[in-house]
Amino acid sequence: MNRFRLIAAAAAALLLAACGGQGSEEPEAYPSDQIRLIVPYTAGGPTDIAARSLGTFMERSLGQTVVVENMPGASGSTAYQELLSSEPDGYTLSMSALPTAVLNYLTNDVGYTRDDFAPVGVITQVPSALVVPAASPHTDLAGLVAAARSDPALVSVGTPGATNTHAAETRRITQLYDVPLTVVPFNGAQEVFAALLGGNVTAGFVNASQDLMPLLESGQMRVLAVGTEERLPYVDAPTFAEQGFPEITQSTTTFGVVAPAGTPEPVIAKLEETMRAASADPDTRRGLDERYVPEQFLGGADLAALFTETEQTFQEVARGG
Amino acid sequence: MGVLDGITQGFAVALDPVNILYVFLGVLIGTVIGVLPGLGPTATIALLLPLTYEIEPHTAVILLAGIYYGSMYGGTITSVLLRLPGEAASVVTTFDGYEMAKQGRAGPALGVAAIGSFVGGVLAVVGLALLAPPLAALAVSFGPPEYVALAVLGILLVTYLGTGSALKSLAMAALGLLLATVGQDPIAGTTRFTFGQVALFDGLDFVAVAMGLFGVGEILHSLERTEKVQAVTSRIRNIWPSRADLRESAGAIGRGSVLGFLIGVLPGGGGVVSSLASYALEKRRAKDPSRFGRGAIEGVAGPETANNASSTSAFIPLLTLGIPANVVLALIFGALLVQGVTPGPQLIDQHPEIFWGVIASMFVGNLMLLALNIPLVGVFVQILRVRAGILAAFALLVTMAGVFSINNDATDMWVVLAFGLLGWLMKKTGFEPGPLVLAFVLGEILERAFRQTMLISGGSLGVFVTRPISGGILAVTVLIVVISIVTARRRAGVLHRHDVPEPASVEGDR
Amino acid sequence: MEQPRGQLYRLGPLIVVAVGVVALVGSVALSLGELTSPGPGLWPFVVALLLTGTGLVLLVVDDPDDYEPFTRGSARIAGGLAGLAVFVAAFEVVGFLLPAFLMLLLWLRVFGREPWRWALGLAVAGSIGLYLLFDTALGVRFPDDVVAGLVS
Repeated sequence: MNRFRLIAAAAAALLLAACGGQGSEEPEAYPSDQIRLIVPYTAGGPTDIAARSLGTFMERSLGQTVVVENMPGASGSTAYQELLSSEPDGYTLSMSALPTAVLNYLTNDVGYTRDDFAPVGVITQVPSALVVPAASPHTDLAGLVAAARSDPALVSVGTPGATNTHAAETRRITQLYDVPLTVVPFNGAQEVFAALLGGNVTAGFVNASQDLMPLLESGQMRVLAVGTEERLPYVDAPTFAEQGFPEITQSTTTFGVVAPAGTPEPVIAKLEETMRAASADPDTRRGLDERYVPEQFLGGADLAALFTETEQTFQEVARGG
Repeated sequence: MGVLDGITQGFAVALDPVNILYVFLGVLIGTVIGVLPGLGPTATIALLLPLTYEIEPHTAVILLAGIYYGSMYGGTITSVLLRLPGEAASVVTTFDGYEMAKQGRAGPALGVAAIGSFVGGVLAVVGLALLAPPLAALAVSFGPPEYVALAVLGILLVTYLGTGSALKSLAMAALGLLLATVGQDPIAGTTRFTFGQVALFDGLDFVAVAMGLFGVGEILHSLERTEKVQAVTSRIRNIWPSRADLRESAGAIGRGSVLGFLIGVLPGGGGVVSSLASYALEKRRAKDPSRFGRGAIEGVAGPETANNASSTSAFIPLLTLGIPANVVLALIFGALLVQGVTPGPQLIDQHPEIFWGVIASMFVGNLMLLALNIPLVGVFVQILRVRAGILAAFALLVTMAGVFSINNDATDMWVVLAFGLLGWLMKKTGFEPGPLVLAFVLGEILERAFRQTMLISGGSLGVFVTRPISGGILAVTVLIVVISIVTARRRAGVLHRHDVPEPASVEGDR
Repeated sequence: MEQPRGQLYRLGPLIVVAVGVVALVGSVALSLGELTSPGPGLWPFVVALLLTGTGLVLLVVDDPDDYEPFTRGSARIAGGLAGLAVFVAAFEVVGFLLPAFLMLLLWLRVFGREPWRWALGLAVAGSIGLYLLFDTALGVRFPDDVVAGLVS
C-alpha cells in the first residue's frame, strides 16, 4: 500500500516537473487562477462555515474562484499534509484551528511542525467555557474545585475530544493547581451536552460557540467560568483568571488561514490584506457570526506568534499525557 | 400549543408548492445517491449544504431530511441487487436480500423493503409528533454504561445471525472489534496500528470496509468461475411481492417499526442496532430459523423497516434538544446554524414552522418515496438482466469512485482493495463478513463507552448492574445466552452435533 | 472421515491465529496499563485474545466442508486484483478518465469476454459518463485529470 503511494507520488512529482509549475510567474499576476481553500473538518461545522464566508469575500475581492474543499480526518492532519504536499504558490491554502493543529504534532508524529506553515491571518476566535447542568449542586468554580479536592474520584469533566484544547487545558488545571479532575473524552461537543443533560459527567469543558447558546438561554446549563482573559459580552460568567486560575486562558480556539512554508512574501501579503478587508466587511462579519470576529485584525505575524505561544503552553501537558 | 394545531400548521408548511418541490427533489436525490455505492447521504448533504444557505430554513431542512431518508430507501437497492451495502444499517439486508435476488426474487425483496420503509417511516413520523419530548429524555438518559450494554447485546446478536458455525462468526466478530481499534485511541489519543499513516488516524472507513468485504469480495469470487458467467439470475420470477409475501412480512414490518423507532432515538449506532435487533427477533420468532440467510422475506422486511423508522426518530434529539444523533444530522444542524436558527429546547416554540413543517414533510416525502419506488422496482430488477461481466465492471468502478468521494482520499480505495481480497478469502474459507463489519461498527462504540464508564465510576464494574437501563439490557443479553445454550443442548442431543462449546465460549470471554 | 484435500483447509484458522498473535504482540507494545487505568493496548489485547482463542479452537474443530478448493480460476483473481491496484495507483496520478477506461476495458474484454465492439464502446461511454456524474454533477474532487485537461 505504502509503496504504491510512493511510486504514485514520485510519478506525480515527475509529471509536475515536466509540465513546469505555475509558481514562476510574476507576483503581481497573483491570483491568475482559482484558489483552493482546504477545510480540515466536515462541511457544516464552524470551520467550514467560516471558510465559506471568507471564500465568498475573497472571490469578490480577488476576482478568482475560491474552491472550498473539505478534507476531514485525523484532527486536521490529513488536510495539513495535503496542503504541505502542494506547491507553495498561494493557490492552495488551508484553514487551521489552533491549538489543535499544534497539539496534533506534539502528541503524534504527523509529519509536520509549525515551521512548515506560512501563517496568513486569523478569521475568528471562539472562547471556551466550563459548564454544568442546571441540576448540578455546584454554583461556582470554587465549589466544584472544593468538591474535586475532597474526593479525587468525584469530578469528571467531559471534553469534545481526547487530544484537543479542552482536554489539554483541563489537564493543565490539574497539573498547575493540583485539582484532581477526571477528563472523559467524548466524540464532539454534542455528546458532551448529552452526557451533561443525562447527569453522566459532572461538568463539561467546551467551546462557547453557537450550539451552546440555546442550552444556556433555556437554563438547562450554566457557565461556571470562561477561558478568556476578559469577560465575554454574550456569556454571563466570570473568567478563570478572576476566580484564582490566571494561567487558564489558553483554551480559545483560533481559526486562521495558513499557506505552505515557502509561499512568496508578496502573495502572503496580498492574502493578508484581503483577509483584513474581509474582517471589516459587514456581510462577511455576519456570515462569520460577529461575536467571534476579533476586534483588532490579527495578521500573519500575530498568527505565527500564537503558534509559538501555543506550542510552549502545551508542550508539558502533551509530554505528560 | 396542541399537537393537533401543530400538525395543521405543519401540513400548511409542507403542502406549500415550493416545499413540495423541495421534498420531491430531496427524496429523488436521496434515492439516486443511495443507489450509487459509496456515495452516501453524508457526502451528498455536505456537497449540497452551501446551496441551502439561500433558501428558507424550514425548506432547507425539508430538502436535507428528504435526502437522508430517501437514501435509506436507495441503499436497499444495491444491497439486494449487488450485495453492496452503502451504510451500516443495510448490511443486514444483504443477508437475505441478496439471496432472494439470486433466486430470482429481487422484485419481491425490493417491493417489501419499499412498503416496509414506508410503513416504518410513517409510523415513526406519527411517533415523532406525539412522543418527541419524553423520548428525548430517554435518549439523554443513555450514558456510557448503557451504550456498553447495548453494544454487548449487539455483538452477541451479531454472532447469532450467520448461517454457518457460531464459532466462526465469533472469530470474525473478534476480527471486526480488532479492526475497530485501528486509529487514535478514543481516550488517550495515542495512535494504534496505523503504521505511521496519517490517513489511518481516524481508523478504517466503514463504507470502504463494507464495500470491499461484500461487493468487491463477491465480484472477485464470481471471477473465479471460468465458465461463461451468467447474470445473478436468469429467471426473474415475479416483480411484485405476492400476497403470501406480504402476509409473511406484515408482522416483521410492524415489529420493525416499533424497534426502529425506539432504538433509533439513541444517538450513535441506533440505526445499526435496530436493524440487527429486528433481524434477530424475526429469526428467533420464525418456525424454521434455518430459512434465514437463504432468502427469508421477513429478513428483508423487518430490518429495512427498522432502518427507515430509525432514520426518522433520529431527528428527535436534534429537534428537541439540539443534539444531532449522527453525522448526517450534525450536517443538518450546521445548515440551521448558518441560517441563524439554533436547534434546541426552544425550537418548537420559537420556530414551530420548522418543527412541525419537517414532521409533516416527512409524511409527504415517505408517500412520494413509495410512489417513486414501487415502479422503480421493475426498472432496477432489469439491471439483473445485464450480463454479469458488465455489471461487475461497472459496480467496481462506481464503488471505487464513490469510496473516493467520502474523504477525497485515495487511501480508502486501497482499503476497499485490501478488504475485497479478504472478502474473497473469507468466502473461500467459509467465514462470513456480516459479523465482521457489524462488530467493526459496534466496537468503536463499545470501547469508548466502556472506558468512559471506567473513568466516571473510578474503575468499578458495578455501575453496569446498578443502573436500571444498562442492568436491564445486560439481563436480556444473559437471558439470550442461557436460552441459546439450552436450545443448543437440546439440538445437540437430537442431531449429535458438536456445537455445544460455542455459547459457552461466548460466556467465558466476558 | 475422508479428507480429500489433506490438511490444507486448516490454513484459514491458521491465518486467524497468526493475525491474533501479531495483534497480541502489537497491543503489548502499545502498553497495557492496569485495569483501573487501562493503557491504549489493553482493549486491543483483550480482543486479540478472543481472536486467537477462537482461531485455535477452529484449528481443531472446523468443518472441512466449509472450504472451497482453490482452482485454476484463482489465478484470475490475482489478475483482477492487480488490475484494480494499477487503477488506483494511476488514478492518483493522472485522474479518473484514462484509468477508468482501461479498467472497464480489462474487466469487460478479458474477464467478461464481451466482444471488442461492446467492450470498447461501453468503456468509453462508462468512463466519460461516470466522470460527468461524479466530477461535474456531484462535484467530487478527483485528482487533476490529464485527459480532461487536454480537452478543455
